[in-house]
Amino acid sequence: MSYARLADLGSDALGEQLSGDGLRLRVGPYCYAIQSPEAVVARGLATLYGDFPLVPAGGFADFHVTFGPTGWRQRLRGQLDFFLDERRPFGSVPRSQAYAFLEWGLNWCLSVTMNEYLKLHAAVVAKDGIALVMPGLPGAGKSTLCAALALRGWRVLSDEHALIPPGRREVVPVYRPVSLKNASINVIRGRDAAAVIGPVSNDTHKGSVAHLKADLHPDSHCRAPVAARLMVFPEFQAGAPLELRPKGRAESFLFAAHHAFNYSLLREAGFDAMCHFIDGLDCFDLRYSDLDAAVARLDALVGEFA
Amino acid sequence: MALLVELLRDPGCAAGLTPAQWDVVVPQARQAHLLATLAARLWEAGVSGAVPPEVARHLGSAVVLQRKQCQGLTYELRHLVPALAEAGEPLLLLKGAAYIVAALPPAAGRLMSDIDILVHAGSLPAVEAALAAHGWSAGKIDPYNERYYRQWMHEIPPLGHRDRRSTLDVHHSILPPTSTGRIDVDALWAQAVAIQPGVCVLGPEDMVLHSAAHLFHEGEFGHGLRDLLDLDGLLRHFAEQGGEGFYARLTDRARHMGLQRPLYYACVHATRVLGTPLPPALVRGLRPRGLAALKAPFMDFLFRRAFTPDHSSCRLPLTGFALFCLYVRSHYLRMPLHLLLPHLLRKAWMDLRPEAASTPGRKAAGQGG
Amino acid sequence: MPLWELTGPLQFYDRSEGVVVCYHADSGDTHLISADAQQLLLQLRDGPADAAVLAADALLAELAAAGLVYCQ
Repeated sequence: MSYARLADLGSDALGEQLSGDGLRLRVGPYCYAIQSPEAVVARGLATLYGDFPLVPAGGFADFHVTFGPTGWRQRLRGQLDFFLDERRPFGSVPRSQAYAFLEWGLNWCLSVTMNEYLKLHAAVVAKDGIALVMPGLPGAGKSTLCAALALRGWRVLSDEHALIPPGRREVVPVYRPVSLKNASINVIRGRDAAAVIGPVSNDTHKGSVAHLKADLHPDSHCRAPVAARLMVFPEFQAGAPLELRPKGRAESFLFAAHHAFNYSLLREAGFDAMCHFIDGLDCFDLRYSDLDAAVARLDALVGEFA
Repeated sequence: MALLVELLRDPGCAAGLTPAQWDVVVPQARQAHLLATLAARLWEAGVSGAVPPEVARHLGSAVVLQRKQCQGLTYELRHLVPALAEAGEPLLLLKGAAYIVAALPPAAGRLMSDIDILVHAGSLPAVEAALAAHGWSAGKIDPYNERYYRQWMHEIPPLGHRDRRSTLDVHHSILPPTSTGRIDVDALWAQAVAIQPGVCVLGPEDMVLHSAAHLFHEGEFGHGLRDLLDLDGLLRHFAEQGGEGFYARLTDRARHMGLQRPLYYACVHATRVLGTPLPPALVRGLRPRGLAALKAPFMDFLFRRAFTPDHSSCRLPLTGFALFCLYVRSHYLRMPLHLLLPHLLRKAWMDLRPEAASTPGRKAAGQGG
Repeated sequence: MPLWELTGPLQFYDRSEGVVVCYHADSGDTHLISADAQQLLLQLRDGPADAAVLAADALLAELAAAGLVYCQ
């Protein structure tokens, strides 16, 4: 028997799949097979991934992920291990950080393996059929902005990976929940009482981490690429007035390339893909402190290009 | 037999694989660091059309990484050749880098972890000084590991480049000085073959022997199947190039260096796992006799596990035990027992307390490029 | 007189913004350079040139440190 969406499974069947052969989820162009006996994983997935399409067992999955305690030492200490294809790329993590770590792990699978797209480290959002790419250093506030936009009707294509088919000015959606850190968690909660936020992991190396269910747009799980027209480099600065300044393409190119996952692996193909992509984009620096003002400015910006 | 191995031996069977079978092959190949090798074999056999697109993108992605490594290697050589020349040394490449630069069959799709080179033991101080002047240094290494390398190993602690982040393993022999082999380093140099101005590789027989010795003396078999594929590719290639005389030269050389045993295991397992065509007389001539023959079934038990991809879909029973035995064996081949036990205990202790080890024992057991 | 030369083939992404993206194929490195630097590199693309003719010692030293040019 096959199900369309994760929410259709029911919690018993979800638990069975997670502790059995694995839960198979469709995430953009990829299929993740996830095995984990941890209750918090089942809870987090049920909360955040309810609208994700399921993939029937018996086919090909891109990433086989296992997340749970392995040896006796891990069991004694209440620690978990993350495996991709039975390889453990990281050290053990305490159970209290389990959910945040699972999400990082799922990001990591994509970050280190696939090279059929140019992969920028960027959030991607879309409105009126136009994708806006937001590269940013950690802490620049791209995820918070991404979450705020999702709550105001924008579609989130990804909060971590901009997948660019070489030779195209498009981004391939690969939506997963948006990660929020520390103060951002309550900021987003405060903006919308109905916001669905998953398990909170405290004391991670990035502080407290939780995820927002951000597939609120009806097209959230469409797989068709979206035309990109804008690149915005957000920078949160407490108390700063809102400022949106045009940024040179060459400078934007270099920043985005240096923070890409596989720009340099792709060599000439990466350079060519980046030239073509950025040439069709208008680039801006966005400094903001007030989320509402930033959202309103981006609404207006995308209106100019629609 | 693991599906991956079947596919490597006979890429033609790709056409008959179901999606559920690909779902097993790709993880096996990724686990064994052989995705790009698999890609190369399927492409060469002309069966890439039979690979489903969702699988092909994994293979293609691995090829991207492999090509980047090849570019990195070429660029690194441009810096290494002049640096070594300052120390009066040519650049002699070993293992993966040698296969790639000399365009030998194992190069197709082969990934490298670092660049391995051979220098004369007498030039080591000059080589280290010249490399340091060009940005290569060992970084932080705890004194225990440093001493371990200097005293027991045939290489110095790995060097990293300040800007380019490449890793260089500088060897002065192809096996630890205390090991059972009697490596005649001068003979290795005498047979070295120049492949580019200032760049050379070991002669054919030595290259095979090094590959065999490396594989069967090492303690970590994460690359076991890949290393066996290297051997298979080299044996087939040199037999074809050097004619029947190749095997006689190979056996003579093995005898001269005391490496009959690793060569024997290499031949037996390459034939068993990969179907390497070898004259039966070669294996017969190398077969251990007397007491040594008694442990052959046990060694066979161990190596069978080491050459199976480490994946639940094909793992044999007692794999963990076998890999542990091979790990201990690799140390016992290079260290006297009264030093070995404290060393292994210390390493186990450092594994339990990762923070205690500034440079993990990774390279102490070697994993090789 | 010392002759300057490119270390390898270069590609540029230039939108007349005063700075230019420069891709060095051999190393795979990407640099952001000034328009002046690009002019100098374009000149060297035609062949090695004399330091005295180029008259840009500081710039050449910078480009040499980035691995784009070298002095014979």
